[in-house]
Amino acid sequence: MSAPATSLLSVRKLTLRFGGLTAVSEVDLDVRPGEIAAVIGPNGAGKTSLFNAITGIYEPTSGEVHLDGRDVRAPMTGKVVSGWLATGLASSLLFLFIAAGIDATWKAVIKAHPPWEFTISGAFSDLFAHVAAGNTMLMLLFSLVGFVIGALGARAVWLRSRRTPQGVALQGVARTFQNIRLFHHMGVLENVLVAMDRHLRRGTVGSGGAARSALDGRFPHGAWLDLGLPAVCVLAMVGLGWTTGDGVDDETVPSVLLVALVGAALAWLVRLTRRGTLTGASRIVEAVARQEAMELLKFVGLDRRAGDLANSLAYGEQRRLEVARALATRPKLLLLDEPAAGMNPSETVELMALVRAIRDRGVTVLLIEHHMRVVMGISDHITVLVHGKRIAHGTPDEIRRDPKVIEAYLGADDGGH
Amino acid sequence: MLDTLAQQLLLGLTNGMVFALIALGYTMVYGILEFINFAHGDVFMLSGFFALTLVGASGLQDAQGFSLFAQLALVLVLASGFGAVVNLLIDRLVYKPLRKAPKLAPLVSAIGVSFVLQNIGLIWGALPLDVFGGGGQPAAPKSFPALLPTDNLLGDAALTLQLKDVLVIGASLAVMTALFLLVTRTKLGMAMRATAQDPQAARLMGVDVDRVVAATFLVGGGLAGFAAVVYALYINTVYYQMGYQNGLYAFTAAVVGGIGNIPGAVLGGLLLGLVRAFSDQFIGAQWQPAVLFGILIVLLVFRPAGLLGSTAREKV
Amino acid sequence: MTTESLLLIFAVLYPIFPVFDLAGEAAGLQLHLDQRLVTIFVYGILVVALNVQVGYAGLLQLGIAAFFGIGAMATGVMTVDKYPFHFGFWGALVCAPLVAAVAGAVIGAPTLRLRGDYLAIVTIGFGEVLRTVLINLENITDGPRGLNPVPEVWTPSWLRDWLGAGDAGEANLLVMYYTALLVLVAAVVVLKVIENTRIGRAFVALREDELAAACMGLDPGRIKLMAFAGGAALSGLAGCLYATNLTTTADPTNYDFNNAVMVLCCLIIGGLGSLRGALLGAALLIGFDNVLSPLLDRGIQVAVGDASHPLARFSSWRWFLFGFALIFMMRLRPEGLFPARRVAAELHEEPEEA
Repeated sequence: MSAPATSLLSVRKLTLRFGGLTAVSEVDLDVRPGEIAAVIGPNGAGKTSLFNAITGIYEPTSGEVHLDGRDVRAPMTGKVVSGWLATGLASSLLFLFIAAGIDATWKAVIKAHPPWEFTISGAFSDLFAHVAAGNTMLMLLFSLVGFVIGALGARAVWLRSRRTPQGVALQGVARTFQNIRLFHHMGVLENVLVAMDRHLRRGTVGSGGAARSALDGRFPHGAWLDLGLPAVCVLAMVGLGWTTGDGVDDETVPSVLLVALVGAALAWLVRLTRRGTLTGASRIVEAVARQEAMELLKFVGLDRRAGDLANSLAYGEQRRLEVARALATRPKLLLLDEPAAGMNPSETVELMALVRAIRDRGVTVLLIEHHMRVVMGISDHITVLVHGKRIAHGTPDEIRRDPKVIEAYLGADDGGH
Repeated sequence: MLDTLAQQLLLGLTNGMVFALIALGYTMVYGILEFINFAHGDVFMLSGFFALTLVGASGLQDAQGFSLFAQLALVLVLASGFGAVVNLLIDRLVYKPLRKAPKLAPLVSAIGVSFVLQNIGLIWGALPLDVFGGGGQPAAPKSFPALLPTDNLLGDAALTLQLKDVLVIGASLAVMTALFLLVTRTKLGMAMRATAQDPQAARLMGVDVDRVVAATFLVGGGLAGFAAVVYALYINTVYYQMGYQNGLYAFTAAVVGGIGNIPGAVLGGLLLGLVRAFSDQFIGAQWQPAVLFGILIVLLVFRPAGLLGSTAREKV
Repeated sequence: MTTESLLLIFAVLYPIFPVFDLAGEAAGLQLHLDQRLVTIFVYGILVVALNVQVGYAGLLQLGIAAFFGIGAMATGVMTVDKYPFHFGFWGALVCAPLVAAVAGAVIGAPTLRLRGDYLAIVTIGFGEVLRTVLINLENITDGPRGLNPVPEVWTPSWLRDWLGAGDAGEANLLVMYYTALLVLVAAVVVLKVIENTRIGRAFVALREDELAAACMGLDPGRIKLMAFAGGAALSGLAGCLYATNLTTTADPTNYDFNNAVMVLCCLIIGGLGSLRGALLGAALLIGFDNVLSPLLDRGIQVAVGDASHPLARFSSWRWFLFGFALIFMMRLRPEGLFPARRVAAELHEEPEEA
């Protein structure tokens, strides 16, 4: 079932069962781009479970999650299928050699002739002869079994990793956690940098590809040394092996190679130690990334704490750092799990401003919150969950007047601040 | 052909029983503490040395008839007790102080304990006793006297069924039944299952978790001690590295069955025992580790939680 | 004494150790320090490799010796006279780590995504399988005898003259010594650099909170596989140096579980996640095992008089040493003697109650 084209996130008939317990039952949820949406409900209503299912931590028992109209699960493409087939072929080859006898095959192919009579084409014809002389049925059977195990195994592993937190995150969904899950022993700035990993890898950090343009000016300088020196090392080693492996007739070439090897290795190591990064380009990208991370910290008001350890922050600050970390992944959709929990009234007001500012950056926000003033104050749409079921959906005004919601919340003791 | 099959089936069953007995110790501790007790196999090994020492001291190899069986039963009980006490001591001295440490700490400690126990086994084998061949070669396997008559119970049938086969299978089944009753019918067993499911909740409900852990180590060690005697009676050797090899297979059995799952450990043990017997017969004993671990990897790819295990989810 | 000054002393001493050896030889002493020190370097690389897997990525890998063995055996197959490949030492030094890395990727790809504890059993199992395979494939590996002779490292004659070495063997020993030292230094420098890059950060994040890291878009399986294959490659490198130093691939029991635990022991004593800890741990423990314990044995023999009893040899007691070292380190100083600051903080914090 495809989602309405206007929704950024659309959850369809999502059910989540743990053993006998149904945490979420046939829940529908739509979040439009550019809005602030909220999920509310009494404790144990299944809100966090819903978040976990959306972000790929839990595999839903049934139902679908779509982002931008596409299923968040990795699609089964031709590349994926050929991956299974390749694994199957590799495994079938291994099984074939087991059936042919690895030891016996080696004996027939490598040991059959003295080393000086060895040729690659001869080795292949020996190999085919040896395999052909074996028990054909057994070998066919073994390769078939090997293929099936390999291909099905690759498929089983792929099926298990179709929906993963990192997969969902890479599609543009970031989140914070109810019980703050920062990297406590890392620095504040480092926490943000970790979340920029993908952009660091691709060199797409910095607003408007700042890293790219910084690189354009400086990339050629010294870049050939970064790759050239280790390449010289490897080539010199291969050359040395080539010229000395079979005994040495003339020392000139290997001597030159040896000197080149040692020289290049030492030069490379000195370069690495002095610069501290693997390549000059990565150093530039890293610098741009730090700048971007600092901007994010400034956005949440933590720029002065950039150098401190995450676990030295106050509670409210830790929550804001989680927001900055989530934003660093450059999400389309940000999921906030009880962002106001444990905050005092003035912090709560700041938080509301922050959430609006996030929306104004172009990031859609979906939040779980108990704090009614926050929810009613900032949300465009609210979904109410009770006992894992959606009982209402609408604007804050509609929700306030909904008799089912009032009934559900009258019995609950933590609803009505 | 059919006889060979039946014979291997029998061999596999008896082997599997020993694996299952050891695997139970691994799986019970894992179920409660989520921790692999690497030293468990070596408790099994030390119990074997203890039993051999007892046999040597009591002159059991010369006993006959009822007195043989009575003394053998006594050896079984004493060796089980020895294993239980050693296992509990290890827990109290080494693992307990690390209960709140990160996961790696008890694991690494357990490897340390395993090596200490192996060295104790090596030194034990050097004791100047007759049963140890005078102790001159501590690393060499010590022969455990064949105490039971080796006559074929089936008379002249092609299938050889000895008294020791019957004893191994019978005694193991009896012990496993007792364990099953303990876990399902007693208050202690209920506490064990509750703790395995959720230690925090169990504590809140008034379960003395510390006592449950102690009981688990006692029971696991007792099973290992029992398995050691059964193994020694069956294989007729005891050596200081037997804990490593058998422990490894038993742990594999526990993973195959679904770690933390008690029936799973028995199933996994039997399965591995059978596979081992048939692969020894039809592929060759030298490929045993390759076959068994190959099966482990294939199983982990297709059913990561083991045959009877369920996938537990991390709480977020 | 700070570890920095200790490292500095080693850094100064190691390059000039062979000079002592030559001097000692001139004075009539057969120290053979350089050959023993090469063993320390080889194990140093191995401990650093394990550090990548256990210290950085938090994977409990107990089969490091298997990848060491794969490196050694690949070197043997690629260089010995009786097979047609003749890659030479330097060719093998390029290929052996590749072979080991492929083996690491093949064993890691299906298992690294599983529950962490399973990795321990899978890697021990892999070690067992490798040991039996090496023994059983006698046509390839020459079984318990091992492939030999593995050719020594090649030394040009001008270098021999320049080093002032007496014969080819001695010159080769010196070149081997400096090669091993250079490889070790290169491995440490590259890893030190990686520690401070995006990859190093990803390792720390993964150790601290795998789920949160995944929700930030880091692929735990991929990062673990990278660490696992990288560590395997380094182990293969060590294996290549080991086989070349011994001029044989040796008995496959050299690559068994006991060996893996010894390497783990070096790492734990030195300090998980700490490069200098790994180096000093290897220097301490392997130095003890290779240099001091033969001396102790001789001492015992002199003291007891009767050397025939097996218990009169230190080797009968050495597993007590390793075992108790692991137990006491975990109890008293889990971060090791020369800890990494960050890992020490992680190890000392009590995990939060769920």
